[in-house]
Amino acid sequence: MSDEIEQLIHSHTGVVVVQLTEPVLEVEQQMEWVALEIREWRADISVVRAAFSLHREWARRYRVHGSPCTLVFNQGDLRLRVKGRFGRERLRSLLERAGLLELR
Amino acid sequence: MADHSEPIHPMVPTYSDLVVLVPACDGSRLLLIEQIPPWVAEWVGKTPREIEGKPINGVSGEIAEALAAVADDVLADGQPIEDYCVEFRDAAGGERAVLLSAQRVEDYRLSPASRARERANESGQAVLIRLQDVSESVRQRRRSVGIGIFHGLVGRSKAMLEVFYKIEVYGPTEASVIITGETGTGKELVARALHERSPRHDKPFVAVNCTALSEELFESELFGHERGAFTGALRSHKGRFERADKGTLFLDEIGDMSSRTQAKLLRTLEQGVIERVGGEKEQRVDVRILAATNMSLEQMVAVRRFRADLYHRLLVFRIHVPPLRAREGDLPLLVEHYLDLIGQRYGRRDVRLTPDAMRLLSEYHWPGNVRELRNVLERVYVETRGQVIGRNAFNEWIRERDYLLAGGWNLERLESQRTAAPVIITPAGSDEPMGIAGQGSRASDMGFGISGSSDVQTLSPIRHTPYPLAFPSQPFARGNGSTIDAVYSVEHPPLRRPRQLTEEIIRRAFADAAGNATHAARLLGVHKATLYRHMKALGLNRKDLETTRLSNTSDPKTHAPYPESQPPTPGEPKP
Repeated sequence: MSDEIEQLIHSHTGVVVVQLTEPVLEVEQQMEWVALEIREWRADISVVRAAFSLHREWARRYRVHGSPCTLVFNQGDLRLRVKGRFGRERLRSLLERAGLLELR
Repeated sequence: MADHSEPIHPMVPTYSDLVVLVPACDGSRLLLIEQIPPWVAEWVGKTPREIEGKPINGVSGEIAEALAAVADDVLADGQPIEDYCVEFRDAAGGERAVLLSAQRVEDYRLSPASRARERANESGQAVLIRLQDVSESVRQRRRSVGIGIFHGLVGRSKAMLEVFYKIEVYGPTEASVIITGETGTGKELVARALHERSPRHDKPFVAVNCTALSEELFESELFGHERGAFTGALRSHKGRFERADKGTLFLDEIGDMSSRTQAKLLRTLEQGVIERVGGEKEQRVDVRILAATNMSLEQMVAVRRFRADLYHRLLVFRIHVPPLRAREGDLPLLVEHYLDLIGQRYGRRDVRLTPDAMRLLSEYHWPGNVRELRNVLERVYVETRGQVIGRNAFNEWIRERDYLLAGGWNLERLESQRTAAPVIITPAGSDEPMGIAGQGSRASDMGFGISGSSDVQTLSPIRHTPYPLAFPSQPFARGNGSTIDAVYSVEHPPLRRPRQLTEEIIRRAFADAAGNATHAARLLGVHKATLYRHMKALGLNRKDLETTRLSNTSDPKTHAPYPESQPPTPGEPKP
C-alpha cells in the first residue's frame, strides 16, 4: 500500500514532502495548510498527503509512530522529520536550515 | 501496584502526566526512565518501580517505542514536539490514543530517589514528555467518521464525499466560497464546516440572511450605524462585518441582496473597509466571505439582477450541495442520525423505521431536502408511541404532500386549494376530475387548464395520469425522468375521497385487484371497511365483483385511471 509513496520518494528528483495525518484528530485539521502552502516555497517540491493509519508500517521504518508527522526527503534520503503540530515559520526555517529552500 | 503519584521526595513532586527520560552517561546513547506515571507504566504491563531507571528502548510495547523515538528526536535537535498523537494497543490489548508534547531541558537534576542515578549524570539534559490520554475522544470521532458525519453533515454518498473533500481543500484558504444548492440541503452547515477547517476557526462565525430584512435595515445590519443615522437609531450599532472581524461572514441567500447593498459589499471586499450608515469614518475589517444561494447567480448576472463584478469577486471556489434525492444511499444514514438526535431530545431512544416506511421515504422526491426529512421524522416520532415507526405513520403527511403539486410548496397555495374546494364540480359520470369554479388563474398555477368560460369555468388537468404523484416533476418521483420508475414509486396511493367511489370505479378496482377486496381497497386508497360500506350502499356484493374481474379483463377501460385525489370539501354531505 505504501509502495506508491516509496516509489515517488525515490523517483522524484527534487524534494518530496510526505505529510502523514489522521483525519479524525482535530489537531491534524490545523495542519492542512502544509500541503497547500509548501508548494509555494519551492517549485520542485512534491507534496504527498496520506492517512497515517494506512501507512503505519511504512512510517515505522522512519521511526514515526503517530501523527501528524511531516517527513522531507531529498533525492530519496530522509532529510527532515517533524512530529506534531508546528507553525509555518518553524517549518520554513527547518527547511532552510536543511538547505532545502535554497532555490528561492 | 505501587502508587507513585505521591511525591518521592518532599522537594521533587512527580507529575501525574509526565514522563522524564535522561541520557545514560556511559556513551551508550540510551535514554533512561527517570520518571513514569503509573497509568502509563500500566500500558506496558509494568509498574513504575519495575521500569524506572531502565532504558526506555528496553521496554517492550508500541508506546515505549514511540516515546523513545520522540525523545531521540527532541534530544537531537532541541526542537519541541507539540500535539503528536500516537495510537497503539496497550499490554491488555486495549486500543489507546495519547497526545504527546515533548521538550528538551538543559539543567535537569535527578530526583533524590532516582533509580537512574547509577547510570545518568546528576544534572544535565533531559526530555520531558507530557501525555494526555485521548482514547475516548478519538474513539468517538472515529465512530462519527465511520457513520459518515463530517462537521455535522451526514452522508457517505459520492456526491457528499465530494462536498467533504472540497471543504477540506477550500477550508484552510482565505478565498471566498459560493455555496449553491436547493433549500434545506445544509448550505449553512457547509459554511460552518469551512470556517471550522480554516485558520480563523477560533474567531467569530457570523451569519446573515440577505432576505430577512428591508434594504435599509439590511445595510445597517451589515455595516452598522451611528447614533442618529436614522429615526430610531438611538445608539450606535456594530454591524455584522465588524462582529466578524478576523473571522468569517456568511451571507445566506446572497442572490436576494439589493443592487445598492451589492455595490457597498463590493467596495468592502475590494478595499477591506466598511463605513457605518450615517458614519464618516472608514474602518478596516479582515473578514473571509462565504456566500450561499439557491438561485443561479449566472442567470442573475445575465439579467442584471446581480453585479458581474461582485460575482467574479466572490466566486473563487464553489461548492454545490446536492439535493437529497441525488444522494444515493444517504437516506438511511440520515434517518438513523436524526432519529438518534430526536430521541435524545425527547428521551425515547432506539426508535427505528420499518423497512416499508424506509422504502416509502426513499421513493419521495424531497423538495425540502434534509430539512424536510428532519421535520417529518420529528413529526412521526412525536405522533408514534412505540419504538417502531411504520409506513402508516406517514399517511397524514403523505396526504398533505398530495395536495401540493410540484413547486407549490407554500401555504398560500394550499389555502387557495382549500378555498377552491367548496365549488369543485365533478362532471357527472366522468372519471375526469374536477372543475374549479372561479379560480382560473390560481388553478392554472396548479397545473389545470381552463376549458370553459363565463363565471363558472370548468377546468381539466393538463396532465392526467393514474398515478398523479408519480410524475418526475412531482414530489414522489425519483427525478430521473423515467415515468416507469415513477409508477413503481406509488404502490399505495393516498386515501381517495369516498364520494368518488362509484360502482364503475369499484368494479374496476376489483378487476385490477384480481377480486381481492383488501387489494382493491388499497388501490382505491380507502379502508376496507369504507369499501364494504360503499358496496353495500350501491347494492354490490363481493361475488358479483369477483366475476366482474373475469368479464372486464379485456376492457380497455380497465386500465383507465382511478380518480385523482382532491382536497376535502367542507360541508359536503357524506355518502
